[in-house]
Amino acid sequence: MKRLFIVSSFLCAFSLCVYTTAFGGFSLFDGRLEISGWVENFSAFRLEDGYHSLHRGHEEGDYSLCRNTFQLETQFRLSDVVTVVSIYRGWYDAAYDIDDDLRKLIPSKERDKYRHDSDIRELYVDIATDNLFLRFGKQQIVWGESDGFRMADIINALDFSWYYFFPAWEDIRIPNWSADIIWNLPGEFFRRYQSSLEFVLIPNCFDRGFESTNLAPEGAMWNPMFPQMMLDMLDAKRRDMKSTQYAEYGIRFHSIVKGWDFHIFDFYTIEDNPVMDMKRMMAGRNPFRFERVNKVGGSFNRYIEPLKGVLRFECVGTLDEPLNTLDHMSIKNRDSYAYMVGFDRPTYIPWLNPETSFFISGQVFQKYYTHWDRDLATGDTSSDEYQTLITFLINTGYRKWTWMPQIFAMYDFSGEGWVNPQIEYAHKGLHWRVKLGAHLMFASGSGQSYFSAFKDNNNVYLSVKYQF
Amino acid sequence: MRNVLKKVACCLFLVLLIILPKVSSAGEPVIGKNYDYKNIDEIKEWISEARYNIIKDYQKWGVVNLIPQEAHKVPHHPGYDEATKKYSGNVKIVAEGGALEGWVAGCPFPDPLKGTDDPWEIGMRLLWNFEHRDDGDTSRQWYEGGPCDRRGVSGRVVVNEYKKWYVGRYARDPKPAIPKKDNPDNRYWANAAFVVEPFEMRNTNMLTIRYEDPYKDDDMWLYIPALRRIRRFSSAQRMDCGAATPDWTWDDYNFFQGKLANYKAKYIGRRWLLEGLVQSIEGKKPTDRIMNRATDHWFTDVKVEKVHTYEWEFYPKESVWPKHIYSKCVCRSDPDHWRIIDRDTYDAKGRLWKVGYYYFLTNPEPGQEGLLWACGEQVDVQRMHSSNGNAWATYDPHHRCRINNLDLPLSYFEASGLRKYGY
Repeated sequence: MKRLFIVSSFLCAFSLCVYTTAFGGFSLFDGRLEISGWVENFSAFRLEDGYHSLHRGHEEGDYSLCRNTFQLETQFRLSDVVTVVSIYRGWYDAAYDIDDDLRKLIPSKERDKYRHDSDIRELYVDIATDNLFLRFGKQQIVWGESDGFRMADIINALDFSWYYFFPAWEDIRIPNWSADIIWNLPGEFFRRYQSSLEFVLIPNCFDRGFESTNLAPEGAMWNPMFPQMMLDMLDAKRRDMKSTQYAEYGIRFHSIVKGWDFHIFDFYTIEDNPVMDMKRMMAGRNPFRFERVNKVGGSFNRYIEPLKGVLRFECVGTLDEPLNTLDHMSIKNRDSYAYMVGFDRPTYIPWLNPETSFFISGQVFQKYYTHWDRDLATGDTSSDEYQTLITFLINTGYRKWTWMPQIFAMYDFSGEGWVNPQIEYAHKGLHWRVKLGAHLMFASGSGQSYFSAFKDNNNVYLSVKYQF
Repeated sequence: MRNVLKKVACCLFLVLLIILPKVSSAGEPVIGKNYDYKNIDEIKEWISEARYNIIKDYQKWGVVNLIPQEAHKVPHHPGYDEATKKYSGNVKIVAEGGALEGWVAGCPFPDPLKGTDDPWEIGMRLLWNFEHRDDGDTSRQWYEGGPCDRRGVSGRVVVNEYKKWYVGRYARDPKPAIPKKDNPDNRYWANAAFVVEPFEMRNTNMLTIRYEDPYKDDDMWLYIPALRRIRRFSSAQRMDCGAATPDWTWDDYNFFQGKLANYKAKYIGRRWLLEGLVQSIEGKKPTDRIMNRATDHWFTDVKVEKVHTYEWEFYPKESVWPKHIYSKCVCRSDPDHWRIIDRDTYDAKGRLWKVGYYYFLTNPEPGQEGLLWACGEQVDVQRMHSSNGNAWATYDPHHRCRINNLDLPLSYFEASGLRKYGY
């Protein structure tokens, strides 16, 4: 039945493409209801054989994925104050039907979950009054200033299961049932500095339980060397956390003072990644624990006129962050401090592109743990008390923004990196888009945090997307 | 016989009286006559060289035509005239940098030729007159258009745009400026552009803030719904084009939206030209296009009228733009409303690159007299590519935006308002 629904969705999607002779979606009820969306085929192919124990069987030239997605977005403006927004997404990954080997690699009970799905991804109500903006429902809430890697963007967990963290964040954030309230502070002083307070509440009391980072199943290309048994226990733990005692709360202050656009925030949350206590496992209990932590931080951006660019900064301090020891026999708590400094600058390089500037962006991320012990392991710092990571992005547009080349590169000083060259072609007023690119990863050893488990997963991809 | 001769002479005289004006006005445009590639030579001296070449080359551009009409005298908003009278006497251009001194509101130089024959001084005066034209205190524009390439119209852009002036106000209270307590960062204007189409940028809301200090760069924030995040952007590269309107640079919007301190201008002379200043709205519904586009790149059936234009050109300053994509822009502006209505843009190598025209409607609202921007066309004549659009300035035909009146709160023009008033 579910498959029938997905097939129907795709038929509807292609019918919409055929019948949208006018550019750009539909509107009904005098423009109050707007419907738009996109259909995409995203195919990625491996560039080498998998040699990690849990990636064996994946061969050069195999599909990494062949994901066909239909997304339908509607927004219904009930009045000048109230708007209802929904985002439906249905997808079918044909790679599992095209490649028999791939099908055999993933446990049968997990296979369908990674083959197709159909879901109301977001559904929320906006209420916008003079001084209040309220958004209730299943939604993504985004904080922070960084691109490519997350630091202050801590509200929603991520879904790493189908293409690691390569898709745009908005496509892999796991929306939460939550409330987001922004209150423009009254009074002349606060008005002058455009000050507001934001409150976030994630009750975590609904059926799905606590939304933690979603990992790929055993045998899948993006499985981080986790056997399925562990993943099942992790999922069971997450689902058990279905009570308001696991609620998460956030508060954020925003203001713009003399061109400095800044935020200060506190998020009383539960870590998206669990710690594992093997002693509990030996006692026959679920070894995973999602620990509560308090994250305090801030961010700012500023246009720097002499340099003709935008400076971005964010920092987060996590008090008593739970860390595993390398043998997973105990958990220790350490404070961690992280910051990011980034700079964006459009730069005109006439000999490379005589008509359009290049957007150049660089970021430096650094994280530090206090009272570090050599037996500690972390999910994101290559088991070291420091992590330093840099990113670089450059892109531009040729022939009236028809051709858009881009290079994104990242290097972690622990000895790993990632390069993502891409060229995008926009046809017929941006409705048809074709992207061709590659994800090339390297890691010098097995202890690096991001790519040591995936360095044999280099792949090229081709995306064909129709947007309406 | 003598009487007969007298009568014949009288008749001949009368005939001559009737015929002579016609003979003397050979080459004068005839009201209501359709001029296209076949007969455009008759009025060659009444149109710019670029426009003549485009109409003449019908095999490349299709049949583009002009229809002369009686000239319009469109009044200013009464407040604009009042402000001009009150404040223009004290205005002068600072020699170093070309900034304006002493301006409060209204037209800074009602007679730009008065007291000087320096073409650079007059050029800057014309540029400042354009900058402080009669556009109201809060304007709204529902823009519909799209890029067009050799294969035809290739997309559609719809933008709902609001612009609020913080100083130089003459139509609505508070006049002539919003009090400092509500404008602590000394804004000149703020512009919020809400993108309805194309899909890629749908519901994006962009806020641009220009400051009173002519040397201070603009600030720019963008709410990108897909990212769920407000991002700050550098406004430094003013010569970049947007992906949706790839023939207009940031400084080309409204035919010139650059920071005047970054440019210098030179007066060329007065010139009588046929320009499509005022177009007709009769018989059209709000959702109709104001002008026809029988050809892909150019509006057709353009109603043109005689305008005694000021012809001038402006250049990017080399100290600011060592390598600008334009070498110069030749403009013709109308002498009543100071709007640039006709512009030829030259590339860095000095070759004609873009040709553009702006057309207007008369504002029918009592007490709000003036010209409303109706349509604009900007065509890349080298690559046969254009970005043309129609605008309905007075109201939103689809009621798609949450705010539907011109008394917009100041919070609309704040970075935090981008998310609130967008989607």
